[in-house]
Amino acid sequence: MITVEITKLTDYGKFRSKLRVARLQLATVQKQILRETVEKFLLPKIRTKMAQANYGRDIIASTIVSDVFIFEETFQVIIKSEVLSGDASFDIVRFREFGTKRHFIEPKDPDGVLSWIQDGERVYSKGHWVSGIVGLNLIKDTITEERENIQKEFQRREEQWFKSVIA
Amino acid sequence: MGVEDIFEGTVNITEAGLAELDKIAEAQEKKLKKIQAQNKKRGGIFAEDTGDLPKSFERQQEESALQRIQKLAKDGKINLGGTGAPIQHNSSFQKAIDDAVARSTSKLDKLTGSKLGTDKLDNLLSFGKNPVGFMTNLFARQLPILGGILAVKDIVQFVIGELMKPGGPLQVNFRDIISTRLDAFRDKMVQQEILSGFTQVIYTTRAGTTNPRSAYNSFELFNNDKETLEDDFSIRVSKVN
Repeated sequence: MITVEITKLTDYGKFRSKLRVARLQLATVQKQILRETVEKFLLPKIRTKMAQANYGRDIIASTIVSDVFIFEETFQVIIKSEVLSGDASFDIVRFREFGTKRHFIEPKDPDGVLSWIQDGERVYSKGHWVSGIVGLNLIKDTITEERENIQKEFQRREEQWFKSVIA
Repeated sequence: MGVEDIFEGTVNITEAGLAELDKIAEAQEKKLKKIQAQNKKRGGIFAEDTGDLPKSFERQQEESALQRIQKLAKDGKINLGGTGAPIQHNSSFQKAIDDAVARSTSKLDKLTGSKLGTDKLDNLLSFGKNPVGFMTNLFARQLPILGGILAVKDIVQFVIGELMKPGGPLQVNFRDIISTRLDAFRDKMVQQEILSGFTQVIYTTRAGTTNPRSAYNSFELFNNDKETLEDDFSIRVSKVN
């Protein structure tokens, strides 16, 4: 609740000029507030969950707010995470977030071999089947969990700004 | 490609909302300006542009307050008086006023050092402000017959002029009386000798030297600036009407 006290006739003019300033700043300020709020309250929680689920550092670092849109009465904040494989043929975050089915893997070079260390010993393969991984949907789930808090925080900051302009 | 998730929500303050607010404020402002213009047209105290809200606004508030009071009176909660209403004597209020008057009078007496009423004190003050006018009025009031026979006003003015001339008891000019003069460093005799040019005093801004560059001789000053001194210390006669 914001109360504006009008005690003199000239107060209306002052109030309206302040209102004009608020209207000019509105979209920019709302975008800025949204970005700050999400970066401060939502992203750290997503990153913490990613770290707990053994996501790679690249994935954690690449999780950012990519865009903020303000519509007439609603807003959208786009949270993006992208880490491409070495040859940029697929996106690692996508597999971690949405999971994979059982699939066959083989070296790209027909003369090459796959190699890794298992139980302390190096093992080799010309190609084999691997089981799929379960998708964790960390970003989506965290957004759902924190939606209400972020919304409240955004509105609080928005109102604080408006008061500072109008008062 | 990557993973993109959308966080959606609603904004509290909208452009449309602010536009609506502006519209309301504009309408209200126009309304008040209109009232102000009407008040200017009415003239008098209503036309005064004090920057406050128009007086008719205040009047409306007062009227509503009056209506509330009237309602209370109708309900018998308060007595507004009016035609046919019993006259109400408030003895304690009257007593308080009498006490206040008595207190102020006694204070006045203390202040003036004698039993003076406010009337007398006024007379005294008017004498300080305009002695000729005061005396004229006094004579005219106290001696009306004489005033009719003789030109009392002229006589009074002559008497007052005599009283107020230089050296007279009612002289209003600045009087330099040697016997009352104070000087922290010299006795009265030396002061008078310096003033008359019989002795000299050398003023210096440097201790231990009388070099003319940094010293001033009062005797020289007296001789050189005699005319200026005479002009400064002479008694000037100013006409008081």
